[in-house]
Amino acid sequence: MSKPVVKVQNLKRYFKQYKKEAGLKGTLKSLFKREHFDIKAVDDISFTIEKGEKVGFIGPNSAGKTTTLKMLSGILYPSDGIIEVLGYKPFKRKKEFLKKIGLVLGQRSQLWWDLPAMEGFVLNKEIYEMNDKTFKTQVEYLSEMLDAKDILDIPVRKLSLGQRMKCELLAALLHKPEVVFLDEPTIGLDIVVQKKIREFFLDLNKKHENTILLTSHYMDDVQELCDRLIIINKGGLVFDGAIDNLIKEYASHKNLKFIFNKKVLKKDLSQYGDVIDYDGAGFSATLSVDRKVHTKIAGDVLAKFPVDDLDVSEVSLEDIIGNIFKS
Amino acid sequence: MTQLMDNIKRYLKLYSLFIKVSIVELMSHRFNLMMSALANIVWTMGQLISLKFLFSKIDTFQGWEFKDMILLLVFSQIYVYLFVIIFFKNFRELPKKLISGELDMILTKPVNRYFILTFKSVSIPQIIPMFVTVIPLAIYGLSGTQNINLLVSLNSIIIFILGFIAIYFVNLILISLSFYIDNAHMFRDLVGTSIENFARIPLGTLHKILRVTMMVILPVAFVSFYPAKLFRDGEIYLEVYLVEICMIVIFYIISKILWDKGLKKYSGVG
Repeated sequence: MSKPVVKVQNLKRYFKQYKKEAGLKGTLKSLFKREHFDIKAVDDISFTIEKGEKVGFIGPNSAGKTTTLKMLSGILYPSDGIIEVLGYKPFKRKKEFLKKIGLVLGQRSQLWWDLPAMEGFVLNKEIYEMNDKTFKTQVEYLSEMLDAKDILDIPVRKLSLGQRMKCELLAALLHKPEVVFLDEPTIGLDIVVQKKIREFFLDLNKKHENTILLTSHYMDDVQELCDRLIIINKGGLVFDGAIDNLIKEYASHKNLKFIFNKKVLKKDLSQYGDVIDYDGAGFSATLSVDRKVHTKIAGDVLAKFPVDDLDVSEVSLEDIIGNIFKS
Repeated sequence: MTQLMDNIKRYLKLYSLFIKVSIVELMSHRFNLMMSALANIVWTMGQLISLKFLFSKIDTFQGWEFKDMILLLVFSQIYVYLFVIIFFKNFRELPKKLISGELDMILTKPVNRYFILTFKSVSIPQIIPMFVTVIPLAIYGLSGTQNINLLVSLNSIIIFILGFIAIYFVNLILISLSFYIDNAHMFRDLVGTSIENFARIPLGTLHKILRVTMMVILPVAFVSFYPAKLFRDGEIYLEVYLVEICMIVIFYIISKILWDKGLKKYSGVG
């Protein structure tokens, strides 16, 4: 079996913070005495990622996603634990290692604000020691894929958010990284651009077998792009596995949506399960039922009421994850 | 050796790109270029008028004649302009980068972090006033000295360069304090201003404590006083080289320790 591309074992990262009371008195007090405490941003997590895997790294705000991503890309030092990417210790920031990774931080830019994106790419060409031919081919290939050919010579400050993100992706992927870390790459983008970016990464992964680690608050990103999920909350690992397994493990219910050809009363349906959606006219309703008996209940409703159509669906990933965090 | 040459070539190429980008960036703000150049020329003229006024009242200043003082002004100006052109914008923005998390992207680049952090922005507008003011002043200051020869010139340049490197590391140390203290950039601003001001004063006029400070803590004496003194006296001071090299090594080690520890503490921005 080949060595994992990413290996994380009992990884921890604590940040020291201090408390400061509000107001002038608090400010003066904090000048002389500060009460420090540790924030456990990442607390004892372990996982491995194989070559070519597309992994979604999700969790609520302050769960430790970005901190983990930053440790994996060598920006932050871990407080404790083992961390290896492509066999390197990221925090040592070896030149060979940094040439093999690409990082996109949705809320940070690596391009020059006043200059066309192309100027930034040329600088990256020298930084990553690319030859002219590879550089030209890569710019052409990536700009074609991202539909960004016409925007490369426009000053970055004049680009829209979506265009800017395309240029950021180009800058981060020019040097053909083996591992790509994406921290909310679609944040603030419209649905069309989001979709384009997701398709781009799927295509990239298919052609070059890059390993992709993605954090995002958009479940569509995760569902369309990733085949595996790592869920963390309050610095700890909650789930690690395929999306299907997550649904099996955490979705205890299924949704049955009925369309009736005659009016059906809500109280008559409620004996079969929770009525989570009911139209006022009584011609359509959605029941949330135990997944173990959902076929039996569907059969019972079909037998008793004038059903025109039936749709069986899983609870949305968003709801499942939301419930995990709540519990 | 080949590896070293390749590295030098690579970094020179990168620096030429930084210059190119800074020029392109500047062209979109042409008014800034003119105003900045004009302000610097006026500032140097002000310095010259002050000196002229001082020497209308006295013949020498602690043994330094008007032309010697002009030479001192020339070296202090070369230092100030070079520092501003190469480093000022980078050092000014570095604490902000540490606080705002901009350092994140820089740390993932396969290039020396000090290089990219301290050389990336080149203040091109300062090149014009440097040539406009320093060259005529240098010609005037050197016209009165008997000690112009290759050896003195070479020694003067080497002492200046070593002093410049030492000051670079002092700045790097001061900037690294941003990892540990809020608003640490104020220290660098304070030290930067002190260096600029003391660079125009002969070392002998200062109190002993200040004199030692200007040599071994803020090595300002090596970028102005000693290079000018070399032309004035025509003597080579080997001990100066020794002190400079020791200081470069010490400041380098301190800056490296502080940066490495600071980066371990670095938390970026969420």
